[in-house]
Amino acid sequence: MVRGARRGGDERVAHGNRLAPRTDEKFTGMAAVDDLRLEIKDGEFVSLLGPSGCGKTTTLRLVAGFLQPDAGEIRVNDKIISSASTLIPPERRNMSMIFQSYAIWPHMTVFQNVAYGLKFKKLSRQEADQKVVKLLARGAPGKPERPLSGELSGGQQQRVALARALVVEPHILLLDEPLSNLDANLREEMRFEIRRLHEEFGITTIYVTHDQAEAMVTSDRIVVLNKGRMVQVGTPSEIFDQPRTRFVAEFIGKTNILSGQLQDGNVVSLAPDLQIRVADGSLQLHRERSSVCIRPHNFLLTADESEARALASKGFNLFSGVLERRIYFGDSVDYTVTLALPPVSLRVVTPPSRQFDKGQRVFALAHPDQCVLVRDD
Amino acid sequence: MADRLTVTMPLALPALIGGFILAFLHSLSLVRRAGHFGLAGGNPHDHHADLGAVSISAAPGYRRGVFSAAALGDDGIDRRAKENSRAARFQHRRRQGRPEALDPLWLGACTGAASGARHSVAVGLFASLDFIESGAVQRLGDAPDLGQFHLEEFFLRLFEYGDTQRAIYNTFKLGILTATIGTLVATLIAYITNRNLFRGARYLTFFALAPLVIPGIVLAVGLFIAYTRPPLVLYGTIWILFVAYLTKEMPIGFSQAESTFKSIHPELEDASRIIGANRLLSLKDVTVPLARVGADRRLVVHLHRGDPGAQRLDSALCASLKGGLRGDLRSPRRKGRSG
Repeated sequence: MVRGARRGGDERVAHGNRLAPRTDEKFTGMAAVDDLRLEIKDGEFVSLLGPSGCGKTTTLRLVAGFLQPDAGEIRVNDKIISSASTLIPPERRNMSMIFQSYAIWPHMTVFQNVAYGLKFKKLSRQEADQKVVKLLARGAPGKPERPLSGELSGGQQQRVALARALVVEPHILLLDEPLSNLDANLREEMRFEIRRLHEEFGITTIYVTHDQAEAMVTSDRIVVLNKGRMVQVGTPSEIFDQPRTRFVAEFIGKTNILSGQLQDGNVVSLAPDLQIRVADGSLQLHRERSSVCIRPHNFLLTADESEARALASKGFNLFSGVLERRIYFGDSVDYTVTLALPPVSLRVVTPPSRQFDKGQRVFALAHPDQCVLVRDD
Repeated sequence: MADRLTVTMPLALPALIGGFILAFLHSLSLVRRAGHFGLAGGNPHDHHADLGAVSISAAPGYRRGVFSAAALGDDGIDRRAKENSRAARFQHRRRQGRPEALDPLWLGACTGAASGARHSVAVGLFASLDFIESGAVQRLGDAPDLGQFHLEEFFLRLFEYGDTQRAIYNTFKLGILTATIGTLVATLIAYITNRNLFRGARYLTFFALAPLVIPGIVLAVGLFIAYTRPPLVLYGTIWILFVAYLTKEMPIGFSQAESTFKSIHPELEDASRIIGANRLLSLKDVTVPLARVGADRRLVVHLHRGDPGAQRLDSALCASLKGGLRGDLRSPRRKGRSG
């Protein structure tokens, strides 16, 4: 039902050129969210990803209508719902939100919590009860009539919050770090659950998180934010494999950043005698001083010089150095290799089948396609 | 132990210092009350009574004296008011799902009983004084006569004297009005400031807490100046007492209401608003049920803290007692004897 109704429309959430809640700007002298332009397609799952204080929750609360921007606008289906002069209250936006604290009402039972939103939907009591029972049957935490009274675990509260948000069949679902209070195992389980629910209901979803793994698992697209600005937007693989800036490269997963000078063609000079070839895609964006991003798992590590030379002759970038540190993780081994020139350390991750000893001279090789030129922030 | 010194103490120190300052100021006010008692004992013509209806802290010495002498006096109520800040903790526990530690009705009944006892002690003291005085006033040279001890004047003052009747009526009227309206106003201000409903809302905190640091006499003079001229002339009416007690007790009600709202996470309200409830419905369905315990306590504390009617009753009894000593108001039996 939700899917049909939603797909019938042309639902978009568009942000204007400058969004800033009045209070934050007033107190800090800078906008909490600035120059954010984003269009979200109908039924899309978009994550806002960034470090603490980057403006992702502020953005979500602006979309929800809890804050009013003092510039820019937010539209849904081409209708302005927030701007400096317009603010449609949250209750009239047909949205739902799941909060970091779950915000389960402790004075109500599980059933009452879930059924509350249906009071405003002009449904008969019977219809409303049926909807609640149906939704709770999918993953109800115990007896729905019992008082909450803190008897529910974090995961159970999260499920109640999810049921409460979904039962009203919102056009847009907002999630504000909903898994941050769960333990690691449950968090991993809930990531898949959230994605499964999205695929089932097809609700346009904006998900706020600082956990890149959550964003990667759940999202169709990821918006990386930093200091109130949008740094990069893309699919999880684009964000991970082709970061545009040093910040994105370092924030999403482990990485090695090597500073150098961009030469003609797709060559970057890291040191007088060390030049590496980089991927073609981003060359037109960067000139002169640039950085190269190479993920640790994209290196091939070998102690055999002839093997290294052979691969280098096939176009691989070659780095030679001494193995300084070795950490065994079970499913992988994390090495630190110190290069002579330039005097930097590389992190290299290999499968556990290939192990090297500390102090050993090794060669790290990276294919040019795995070496991405990024802009220094 | 090291943790307590390096972590707990620095965190708790501001609150401890604040508590110490409040306790110190409070103890000073107790000393003043004792002074009043002494003054009243030595000189029945209490000058403070001349300030009349606008007097707040400089209240009649008899009243303060008697209430200080009564073990269930203001101190106990003050202490209870401070303890009432625990309401937030109870509510927090409640929200965490633990059983409610203190039932508000039970609290109300207990404090009501305490207040009743307090008034009974005050009235009992007056009755005893009257009883002793009636027997003590005998002609020189007469043999002691136990039959001369009676409570006629006490009953006369309490049940027949018009001022006392009015005072009893004022007791209930002002007490209930101040408590109810004080609770509502304090709750409203605390909600507005806590949820920052409009720009500059936080400045209301200053106005709500200002009476805490303004000396009572300054407040009294301020009220006198404000309400002795148009457009609102309240001087000489009972309503100036209402305004005075409302103002004076506002900080306590406000601070309790604020702690209550602080303990209710705004996301609980947001969660209801985003799924269809407007602000009023959200207030009714979510905030009020969660804040109810705190509001009950505030009402009870206002009722006892303000207690303006009781003070009026007391003043009336004191006045009548002084009148009795001076011969203005005496029972026919004593008049005949002294004449």
